[in-house]
Amino acid sequence: MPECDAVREAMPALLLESLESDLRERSHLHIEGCEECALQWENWRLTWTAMDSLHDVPVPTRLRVRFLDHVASLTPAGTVVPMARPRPVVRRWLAQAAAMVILVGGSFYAGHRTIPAPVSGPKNYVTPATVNNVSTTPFSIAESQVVSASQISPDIEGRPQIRNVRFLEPDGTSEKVAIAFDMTSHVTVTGRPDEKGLVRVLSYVLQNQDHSSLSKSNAMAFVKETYSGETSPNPDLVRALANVLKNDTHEGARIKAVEALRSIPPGSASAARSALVEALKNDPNPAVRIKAIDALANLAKSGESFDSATVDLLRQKAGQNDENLYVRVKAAEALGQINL
Amino acid sequence: MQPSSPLRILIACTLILSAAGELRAAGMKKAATERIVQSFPMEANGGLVVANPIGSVEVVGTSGNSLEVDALWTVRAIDDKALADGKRLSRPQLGGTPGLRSLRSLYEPGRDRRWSAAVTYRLRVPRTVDVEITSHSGDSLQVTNVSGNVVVKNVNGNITLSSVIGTMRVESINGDITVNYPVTPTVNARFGTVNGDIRVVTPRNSQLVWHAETLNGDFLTTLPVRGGFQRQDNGTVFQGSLNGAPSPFIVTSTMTGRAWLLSDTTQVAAARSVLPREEQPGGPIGPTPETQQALRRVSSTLLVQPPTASSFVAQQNLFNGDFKFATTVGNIFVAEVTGDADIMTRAGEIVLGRVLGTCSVASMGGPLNLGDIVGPLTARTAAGDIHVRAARRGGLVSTEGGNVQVIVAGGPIRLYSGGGDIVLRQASGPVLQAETKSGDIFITIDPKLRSNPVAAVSIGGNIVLTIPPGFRADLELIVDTLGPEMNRIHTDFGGMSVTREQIGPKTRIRAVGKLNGGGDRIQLTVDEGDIQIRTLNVPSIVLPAVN
Repeated sequence: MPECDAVREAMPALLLESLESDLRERSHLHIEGCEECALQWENWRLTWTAMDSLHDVPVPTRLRVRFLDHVASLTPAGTVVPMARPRPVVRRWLAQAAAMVILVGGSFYAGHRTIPAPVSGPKNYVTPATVNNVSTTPFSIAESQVVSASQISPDIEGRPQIRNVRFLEPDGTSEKVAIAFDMTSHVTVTGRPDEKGLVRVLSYVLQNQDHSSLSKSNAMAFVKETYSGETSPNPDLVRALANVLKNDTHEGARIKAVEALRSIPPGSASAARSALVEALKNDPNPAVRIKAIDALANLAKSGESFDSATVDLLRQKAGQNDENLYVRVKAAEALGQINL
Repeated sequence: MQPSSPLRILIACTLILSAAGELRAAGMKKAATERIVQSFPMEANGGLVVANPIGSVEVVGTSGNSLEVDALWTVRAIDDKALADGKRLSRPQLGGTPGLRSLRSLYEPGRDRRWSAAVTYRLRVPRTVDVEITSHSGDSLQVTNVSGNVVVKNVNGNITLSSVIGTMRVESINGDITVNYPVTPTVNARFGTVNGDIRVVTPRNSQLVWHAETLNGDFLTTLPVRGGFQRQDNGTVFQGSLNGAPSPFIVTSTMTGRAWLLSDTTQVAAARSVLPREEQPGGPIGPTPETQQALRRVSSTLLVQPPTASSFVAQQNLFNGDFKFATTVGNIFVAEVTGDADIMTRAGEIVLGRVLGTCSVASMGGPLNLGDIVGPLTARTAAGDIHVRAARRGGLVSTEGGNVQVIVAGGPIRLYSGGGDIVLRQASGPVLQAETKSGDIFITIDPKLRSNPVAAVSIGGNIVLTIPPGFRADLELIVDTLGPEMNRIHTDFGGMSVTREQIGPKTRIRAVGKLNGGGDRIQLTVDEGDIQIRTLNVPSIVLPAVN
């Protein structure tokens, strides 16, 4: 069934309405007459519809890069420029299939991540390039967006870097064209330290494994300076720091996270306490364990009561022969602060 | 639990509302007390389990065959509503069978700080029963005249066992343990406390082996114990025999407190340490007023950040000449040493303000907090951060886990962290090596220098090198990465020759070039990280002249 194969291969492009008109017509005719292909087509459409209901969560950069690298490695690279125009449909199919896989894979990946989506908001909106502009729609920080030309501000401010520009041709059914590009722009978010938007950005930077840890280091130093002494720190922020302490492979980052948690009174934030206990129990870096004990001792000093598991852990640490002596001493000191 | 005989049941409930001045707890203006007196039959070879999180417990062995309970349940609260909540959510529960009696003070979920509840138990049991008591906090736990086995555990509060013949196992965290043997011990016993002291009193003619362990405490006795001690990585162990006996073993284990083995005819004050004088811990003491003043001065002028320690086994404000000190466990503070400093602690923080000579400090665990080090510096710790204001003649700064921060390195310096960031705010001399196994490295070159060698390696982190304008160097920058599009080399100048090479699963990005015509060699290597070199005219840090 070579025709079935060709039609099924064309289905992603058919779904995106980017198939050339004669091919599109032939494909639809085939689908109407072929039960199996009709079933396949229905599945594609259902998947596509279901994807609409998913939140628009950006695919992590690392995953995207790996995928594109893999796709690039499958495409034979040569130094000879072909005289004939390559078949655009095949190339487009490949790109469209890639887009589908990125979308599906990204959504699947994002749906399985325990951290919340960094920023939620409408899918299509204006993104003004300056903080002086006042927009009624919320500013979105997103990895990819689709914006209508009518929503673009007529002024382009500064000199934003625009790269990787691609032009998408009209498909024959509409006059619309599309320009896609990557843009680097500098964003400054202003607001009170406790403002939700600011806290969400900070939490995202703290937990984003795909970003350079220099940003993370700076964010943690900022958190430590800005939020230390707050009586009721934002739980999102505490949770983000706890996640860094639990999951980050970068030991410098974990040390900073535990320092930040130590400087912020966690109060009733159980996420912070469990992260400290977990760090004391399992972190291979002794400096992290020392600071975790300090943080727990501070909690004890401030009158927080410990559950029996925490007390047992401290007791075990104090008596653990293969633990660093200083950690043992600090555990004994922390136990001395316990006031039940 | 059904009482054995109605005739022997006496339940007296007294509700007392007390005035605020009579209550210990500040703010707890209301109180209710209920007394429960009950009697239950109990087998002679039975067991008694008492779980009383807050409150005292006294158990006395008798010749009877019943458990006599006299419990005082007290609830204190800030107001009537909280008092009602406290009474609703806490209660003593008496249960079990004649073979195993159980007394538990229960706290339902919903406990808060508006109220507190405690139960004081006075219990009479058949002398031969086994006894197990667990408690968190209470004035005291006492067991007297019991020949069965005894297990006692608590967090706070003192534990006293008198005339207990059976096996004893006692564990506390902050409480003192006192044990009085009326006759020579015949079975093994183990007593452990983290921060408390242990006193074992036994007849002079007792035959036993005393095995004592401590992290930072001491062993004292008034008895002729013959044995030896052993210094181990995890503390000190002493084992000695009293009157030549091979058993039973009396094991005492205290982390920071002291353990005594005393004769029943001598005073505690007469006890002497079994450790040689040089091994006896001095014990940490809080800073004297002079030291506090010196600490404040040193913290504000010389240290990068305030010390975390609040008590010290050695504290010196000014030491003329060479200062040499070693301790097992403890923090050390010296404001100024005019000669060389050679300091070692097995566990503790070392705080030095200024050292005019060579400085060698080592801790097997604990942070190093150093101010102005005029001579060559060697600072090592097995765990913890290292902060140095100035290493004027460079040296070595190394931690197996923790951050390294040096504000000014005036000479050739090596920096190492087994896991943590390295920050060198001003390299006024060659950076022979800066290496971290997991962390970022930030190095800023002295703006007065036109060229300076730097070698830095970070695994799983980034390197940021800040150089002054016009700085000359031969650059070799290497990034080994699984994601060549993720990890990059950023410079604010051009002219670098970049190559990519596949080495196993990783891509090696290598950039070489001469900056401003070339100069000293700068080699930066990262594994799964970024390299950033930025040209910036940062203000120079000027150190004060040393007289």
